[in-house]
Amino acid sequence: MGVREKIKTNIRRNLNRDYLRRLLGILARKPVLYAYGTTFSSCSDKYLNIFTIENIRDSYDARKPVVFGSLFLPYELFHALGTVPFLPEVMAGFTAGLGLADQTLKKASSSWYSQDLCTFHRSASGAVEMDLFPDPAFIVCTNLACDAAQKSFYHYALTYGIEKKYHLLDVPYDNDRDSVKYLAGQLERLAGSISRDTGQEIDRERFARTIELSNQFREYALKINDIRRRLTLYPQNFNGLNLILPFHGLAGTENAVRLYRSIYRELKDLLLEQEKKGQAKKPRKILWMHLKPYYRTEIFDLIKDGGCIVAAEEINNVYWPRLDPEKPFESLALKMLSHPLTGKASNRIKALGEMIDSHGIDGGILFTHWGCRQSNGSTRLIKDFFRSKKIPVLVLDGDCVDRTNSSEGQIKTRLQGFIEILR
Amino acid sequence: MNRKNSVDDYFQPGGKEAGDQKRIGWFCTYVPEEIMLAGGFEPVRLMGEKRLRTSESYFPINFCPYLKSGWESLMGPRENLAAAVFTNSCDGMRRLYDMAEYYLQDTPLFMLDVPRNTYPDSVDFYSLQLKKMLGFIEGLKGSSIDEEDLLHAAEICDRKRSRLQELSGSFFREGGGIDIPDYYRLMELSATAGTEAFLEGIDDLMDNVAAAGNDNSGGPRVMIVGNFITEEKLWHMFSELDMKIAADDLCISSRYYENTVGAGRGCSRKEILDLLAKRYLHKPACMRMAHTGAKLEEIKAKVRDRGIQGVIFISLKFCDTMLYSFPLVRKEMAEMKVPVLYLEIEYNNFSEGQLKTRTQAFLEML
Repeated sequence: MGVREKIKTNIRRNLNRDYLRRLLGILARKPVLYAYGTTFSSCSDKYLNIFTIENIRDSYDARKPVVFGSLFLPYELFHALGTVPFLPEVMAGFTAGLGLADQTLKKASSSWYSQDLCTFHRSASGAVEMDLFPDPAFIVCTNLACDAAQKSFYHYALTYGIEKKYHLLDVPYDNDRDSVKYLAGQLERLAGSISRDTGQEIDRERFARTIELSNQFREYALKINDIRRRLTLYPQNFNGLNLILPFHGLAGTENAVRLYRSIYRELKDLLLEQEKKGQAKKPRKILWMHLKPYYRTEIFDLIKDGGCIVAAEEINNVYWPRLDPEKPFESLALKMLSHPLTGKASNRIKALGEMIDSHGIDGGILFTHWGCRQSNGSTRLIKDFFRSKKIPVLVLDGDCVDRTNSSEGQIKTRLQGFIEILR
Repeated sequence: MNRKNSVDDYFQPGGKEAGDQKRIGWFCTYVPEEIMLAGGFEPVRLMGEKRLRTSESYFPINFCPYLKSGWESLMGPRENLAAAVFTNSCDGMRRLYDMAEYYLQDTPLFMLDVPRNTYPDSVDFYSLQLKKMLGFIEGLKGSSIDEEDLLHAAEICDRKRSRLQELSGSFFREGGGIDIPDYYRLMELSATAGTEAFLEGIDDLMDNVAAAGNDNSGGPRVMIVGNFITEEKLWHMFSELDMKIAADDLCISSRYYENTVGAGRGCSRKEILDLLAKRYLHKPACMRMAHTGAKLEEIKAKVRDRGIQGVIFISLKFCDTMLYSFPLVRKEMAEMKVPVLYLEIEYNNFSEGQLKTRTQAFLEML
């Protein structure tokens, strides 16, 4: 059994908050962390894991106020305010990866969460009920993309007894001047509220620096996407769908810049190598839509073995314009309003179309995660769109967190058939 | 119910004019009927086709059955439907609008952006959205809508709400001389029969029901909490059981008629829109709103004030905002020592035997 498997087994055996805090305290010590880092096969994978552990450790060690946040918030705001963001939905993905989801989902069911609900939220809710997460000082969520967070996060606020520290950033439907003003006002009010409660004034210089770091991260993310348009060789275990936490939760930090810079350099070297070597047969390029299963799955091995690569993921699309440090609230509002999952499905489809064209995509895979009404409700429109572009698309029904709710055999058969078509 | 055979008999739209009036379909109680009425259109809530033929192929299997029914009806003949107004009330409704926008290109559609917060800036923002809706209706009408039109429409809608509040108060308190299926049919008609036709019929109906005695009077005092529940069979089932509905919190009743606009003479267009925004954002909330705590307080207040002994929480399947709210409602009710029964139904399809047995057992426990 390798180190990582041993860690997972120990977490499963000693599942409680104190154990997690102690473990993170040990793992996040510099020598241990860098020794642990050497177990990863690529530089980008190493930094991804190290920065993820550091972020989670910071949220458990309670030195700074912890903000529970839903996925699509502009995390620059929380970094600028000196708080530590903690993303329960991302943690739900970890519960799947660590093999804990059966326990958290069971707890959620016994707490009356319906099995028809999204398992990212159900698993996180189960973890809250089991008291596995650190104590939050604030709970902030948004209706951007879906309805689930605003409801489940309110429940967290009640559970932790901080109902008055619950905030919903109410993202309007259209991206226009009125919407930017309304949302920027909410962001400013939220910043004021957090700053009052933590007793720390909003540091304008720090805010500007955070915005600048976010812009640097954005530039690297754009460069990475640009390289991936031509790249067909990837580092071992590279999977763009693992980048959710840094892409969202670490935006505006040094670590995000360091991680994206290291990914950029690694991919750039590979591109040079690829160009030097030349390639006999170009792999077929797949655009991955929505998220992936976060437990062990054969899906990506099958894609690779079938001579295909995931050349782009919907979640790594850099959709927002450069942020203006002089107008931080307006910029962050615009970032949220620019998200393709805000408003009409045609916004999402337009973004997919741009990714298809710029990456030369040969096929699309839409993973329809059980209970994700916002994404799955557009399936028909997305299929029709791909058909209009004469590009095959595969709709894979499954569950990103609960492996018992996905039919591995059926997914495999359908995926193999799809790969046959692409070849 | 006497004199006339059914509730529907009281609300037959009369004359050629009523039949010819252009209708605008709406789905959600956050859409102000006032603006459509002010434009000379008849607002009609789209109840959806209960029998699905093709809409299943447009939406996933685990998707709101009401929205699928709504889509079925929009795909069918849309005689006299000048337009349809949607809201971004939930993920499902946004996707329904997308479908309509893509596949129904011959029907004018409007998406009304309804905030989830109720702070003063949310009300201001909503007022701006109502102004956009007003512009849309003016476009359909081909001329502008002035404050007189808006005031008149607001006054009519307030009158309708007052009558519904009066009738409902009587139904929940004393039984009101109207049985459960008729009461909820009346609630449906209040949003579908045509505003003038409804106002004409309601007085006649109230005179008759007042004399008819109690029909919602026996058994334990129950509160119904739910979303878009229009299931006739379910209301009949409740009616057959020994229970009294003493309060509800439903999309088709209290969330529709409670609170009035109260616009007075001399109000400008903007002031009327502000009042509308305020009324709609502060009416009894749908579970989609941010302040779940305020929603829970509304429910708790009704439970306390009306001596509720048990709550029946009914949800159409796959309604996330309801499903996420249930654990909270249950927890709050447990603290008040009020038992809760959870029922889940499809639209026009539920297992009557099973639901009846569960409801009976619940009522016996009360």
